[in-house]
Amino acid sequence: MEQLSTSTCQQPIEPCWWSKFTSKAMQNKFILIGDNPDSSWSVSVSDALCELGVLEIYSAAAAAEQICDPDVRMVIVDAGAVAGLTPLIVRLRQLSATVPIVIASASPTWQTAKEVLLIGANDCIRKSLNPEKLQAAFQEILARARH
Amino acid sequence: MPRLKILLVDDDEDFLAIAAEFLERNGYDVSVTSDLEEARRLLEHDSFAVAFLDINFENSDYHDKRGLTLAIDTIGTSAVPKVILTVHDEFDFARESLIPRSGKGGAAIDFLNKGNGLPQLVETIEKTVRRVKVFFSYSSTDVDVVRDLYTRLQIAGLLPWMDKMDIKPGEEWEDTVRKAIREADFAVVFVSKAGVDRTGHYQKEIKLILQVQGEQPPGRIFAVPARLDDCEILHEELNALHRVDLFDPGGYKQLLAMLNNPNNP
Repeated sequence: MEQLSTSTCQQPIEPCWWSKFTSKAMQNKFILIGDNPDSSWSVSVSDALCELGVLEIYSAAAAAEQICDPDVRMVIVDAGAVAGLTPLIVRLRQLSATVPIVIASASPTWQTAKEVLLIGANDCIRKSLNPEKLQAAFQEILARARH
Repeated sequence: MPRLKILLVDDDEDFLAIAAEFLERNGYDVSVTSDLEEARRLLEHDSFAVAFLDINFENSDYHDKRGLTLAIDTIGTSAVPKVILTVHDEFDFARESLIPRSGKGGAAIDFLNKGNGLPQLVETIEKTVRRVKVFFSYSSTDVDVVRDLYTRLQIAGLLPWMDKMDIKPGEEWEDTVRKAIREADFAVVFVSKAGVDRTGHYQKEIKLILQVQGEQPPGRIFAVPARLDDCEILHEELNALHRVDLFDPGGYKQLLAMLNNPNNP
């Protein structure tokens, strides 16, 4: 299994609703499918999620092995780092019907949004380097998925 | 068989006329409106196989998105599958139209760019209409109300089956009914005060429907008891299943949403 990184929080941000409801926030696992744990965006995602749980970065193949872990709360896919986005989402959705899958793209188009949302992704977001903005987006997705 | 009903909601009346003509030429029964309140009423109280909604209803204001807002607002109150049809093919609009919301699905089932032409509407309708086969079991006392529902489901794109409408002259009743139940995706068992203690064919059908329900994997709905009035369901096994009350204002919508739910094939 190819795990590229387990993140540590580099930029503390305000605690969120999630941490208020669990004393073991670090058990919550977030998977980022990407190819560069040191990219500015990966670091921003890590910062955004550090109050919510632990972020692990995997290649697409390795992430598929992880999605059934009951601690996994969300899979975030860096659209720019994946060769076949559609087959990957289909595969992940086959492995887990419930874990939220989020596609992040630097310049998403309406066609990308349509393609990924119609095959089972929970959301398609613009990449941002602002951890607070990212955290708000992830929290909204988690809240929607809980209902 | 009645034609599938399609709703077009757009502020561009020329586009409405041209698209309606195109769809009618392709065999659909088309209703059009430029009025969002009328559109809401139609979506919430009428049956359509698909509704196409424009996003922008004020050409001078790019930020106007009242058509999309209507699609979002009617997620829980309308069982009509909605498709956003727009010239504003922006990422944010597509995302907002299609993201799943609170377990109720997205505001729309598809997002189309008007610039890609009218044939895509027909493709989308044919892709959307699931042609779900629904067996109707009812007492002869309720035939009129059941026949009305039969027509409503047909124009919403489903394939209902009832003996009065679908058994051809000369066909053997029992074998044909047995085959129809076996081939159905769902069986709706209508119950009412007038028909609740009827014996004969109706009871035989219920027995077979419950047998088929028993063969389904866990969680898979096949038999759906549907009360036509505030009657008691005497059949114990039937009473244990989740029912729909068609005499309630939201009953029909609830039934249609369940039959159209792709997660319950």
